[in-house]
Amino acid sequence: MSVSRRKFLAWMGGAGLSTAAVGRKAFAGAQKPFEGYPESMGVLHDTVLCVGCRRCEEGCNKINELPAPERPFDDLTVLEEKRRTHSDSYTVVNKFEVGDHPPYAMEGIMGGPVKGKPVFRKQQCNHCMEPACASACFVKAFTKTKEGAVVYDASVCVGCRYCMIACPFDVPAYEYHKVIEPRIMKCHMCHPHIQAGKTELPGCVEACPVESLVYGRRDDLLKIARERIRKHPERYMDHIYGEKEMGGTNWLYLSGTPYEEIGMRHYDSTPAPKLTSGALASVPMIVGLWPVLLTGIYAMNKRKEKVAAAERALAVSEAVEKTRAEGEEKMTKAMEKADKDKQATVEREVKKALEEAAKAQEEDDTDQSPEEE
Amino acid sequence: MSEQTNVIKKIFPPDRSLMTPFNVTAGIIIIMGIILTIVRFTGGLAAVTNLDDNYGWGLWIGFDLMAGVALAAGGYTTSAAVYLFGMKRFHSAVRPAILTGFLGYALVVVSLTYDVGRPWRLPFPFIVSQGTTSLLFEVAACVSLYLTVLFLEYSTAALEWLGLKRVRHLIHKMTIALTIFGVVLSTLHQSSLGALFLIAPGKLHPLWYSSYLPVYFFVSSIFAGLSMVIFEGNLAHKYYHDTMDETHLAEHGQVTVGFAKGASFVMMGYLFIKVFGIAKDNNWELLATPYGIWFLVELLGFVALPCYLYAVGVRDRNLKLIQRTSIVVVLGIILNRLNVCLIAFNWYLPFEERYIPHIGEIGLTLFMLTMGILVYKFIVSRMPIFYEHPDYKDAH
Amino acid sequence: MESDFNILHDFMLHTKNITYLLIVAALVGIAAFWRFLSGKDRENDLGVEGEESKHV
Repeated sequence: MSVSRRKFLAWMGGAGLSTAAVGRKAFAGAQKPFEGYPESMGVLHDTVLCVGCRRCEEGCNKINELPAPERPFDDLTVLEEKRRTHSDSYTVVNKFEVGDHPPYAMEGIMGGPVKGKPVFRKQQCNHCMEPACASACFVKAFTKTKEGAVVYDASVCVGCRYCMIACPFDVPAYEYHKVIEPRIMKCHMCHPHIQAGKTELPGCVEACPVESLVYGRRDDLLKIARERIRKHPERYMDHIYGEKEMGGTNWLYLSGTPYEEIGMRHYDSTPAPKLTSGALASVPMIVGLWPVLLTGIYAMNKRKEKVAAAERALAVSEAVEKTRAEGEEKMTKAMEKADKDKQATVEREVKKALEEAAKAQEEDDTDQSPEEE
Repeated sequence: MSEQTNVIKKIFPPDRSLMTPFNVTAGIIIIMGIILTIVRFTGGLAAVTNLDDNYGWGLWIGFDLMAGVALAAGGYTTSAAVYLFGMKRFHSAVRPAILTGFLGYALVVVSLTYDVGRPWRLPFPFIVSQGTTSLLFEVAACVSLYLTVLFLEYSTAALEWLGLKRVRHLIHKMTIALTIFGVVLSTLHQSSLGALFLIAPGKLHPLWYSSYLPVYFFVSSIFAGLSMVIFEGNLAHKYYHDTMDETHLAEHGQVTVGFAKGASFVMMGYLFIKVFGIAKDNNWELLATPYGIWFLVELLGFVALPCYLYAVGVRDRNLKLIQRTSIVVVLGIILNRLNVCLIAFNWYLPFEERYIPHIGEIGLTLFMLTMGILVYKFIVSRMPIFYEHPDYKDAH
Repeated sequence: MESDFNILHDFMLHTKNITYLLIVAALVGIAAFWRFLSGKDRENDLGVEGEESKHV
């Protein structure tokens, strides 16, 4: 089949162009980090502004139609104990008694900094950029939506609770008391409500009376947070929690005290999927190589056994042959000797017979001779 | 046929009562287990467990699943030694090890049906929604495939008992392929069970959290399995001596010594890689803390010591010492898995918030173990596990 | 390729999906290729030992 020169050149041109394009993309793509979904929304929680009124808890409870709590939301004595999220509460506020070192906690928005005042912090799902729960779930029950919320799909959940193990912020709770439809319970940033048009803001953000919670694009929230730190360096720690932790979260925090003092664990920027990527990557390696090695060992052993068996068989047959040959030789010699003996015996007997015959003849002659006269 | 009838008559003598101490105990446990099962599936996990929001995994995962899978590793180690590495003198140990492995993994699946929130959805990861980013997905796939492999490997004994020659022959031809597949699957899931915890560095005490966790779990499964074969072989010899054929009885000593030698050597390697792990993360100072002492108890008391005792037993051909040491190793494996899963997990929580198993969890675990032992007894006293069936004398 | 995925998680989901399918293919392929490779040996075994050597 002959190809026209024009066609050939066209092909080459196309190949060259695509190679250049792929080449450039592959070269650039190899280094590009994952930057998350653009336009992703989040919440900024300024703990310096939080007064611990628990209205956010109430707002969340109402919009999600969660069960009524044992003690009402305006009962602030619950803050004396540390609480965590539970099957009936997507979010809780905790009180932290912190030291009286600067920067100080602020009393509401109006008052100035006050020494030794407790700090309040609201906790809920942090909606990680690279959620550990999504990485851990073996039925893909968790999804990082492009709107920023990490949502849970109860229709596939098996109830293995690996997400509870994996979550670095101890967020997911489980409905252990249910038999037929136990679910993981966790904040979803009111994603279904916002998507359905029921509300524009998450329930907690809507309810907060002191604007300690701000809802917006993550990039904008980071800018706001940086601006606050820049404007009031005596009021804030120079660190936005959630900017980089575990690869970054969509729920961001500002604090007037070190984050450890308000119960927030230190994490580096390694995202959860990266923590298990090494182990996961070894799976295909093992599958590709281990069977080859094991089959090889089996085959080599089998061959060794076969050769050893053959050598043994050869040695046995050689020994048998040798014995047989020796036996035959002995036999031949014995037969020769037997022949010789037989011959000798025959000769002896013949000789004896002849001698006897001769003697008998002699006697006969002696006997017979006197009678002749 | 009459040979089997005689065997049965020996195990269940018609003139003796069924009310032996073992049977009575087993009966009580079974009745309790049935009641607890009803409570589990009418009252939910909250009714029979102490699982909470901080401890999503409890006794059933830490002991039944993690320790159970490690101790059932005798199946792949024994069959690999005999069929792949050609150590024919251990051949009589294969069937008992495969049976134990099969029952062990079957019990793991049963404990999962108690533990997960919606057990009827257990096939979901394969047929509904594949969470391939999860190491648990890989564990689930490998465990279910391996259970199938073990079942097929065990089935030749059952088929011989049933006299189904053609099917038995068909499966027997797959022995090598099944053995190789079994070793690959075991390597994958034994290591991945350890890898599950890689995702939670903040929650596991640094002496137990290591990027080497998968390697630690896989290597320890080797000597866990070998030790279980020694331990069970010893028990079987006490109670099932009469069912054993000449080969089995003759090889018993060799299996005990041979497996102890292998286990001891692997344990020595394990000790070194554990120390390398501490060095890599520079955690030496942590050894002086309370958790550090506990870590040393696990490593020195339950790995280093039995490693040495095995070696002495092998050198002196002291079967009793080896058999007693195997118990220490088995306990050590259980301790290690419980440490990773429950004790070193969320280690920083105050004591009131820590997890202690509910009596219901313990009761149901005992129930599952008892059922396993009963099935084991049924099988070994009827099927050619401890002896070779006269019609099928094809050694490999 | 990287521009198709916004987060590492999505990238891993995609690559692991493909990898698992390839793993199944690899297992079948390795077994089939071994049979192909050892065809002559099986033939020879048949001549000498008969039934026994039909596996692997």
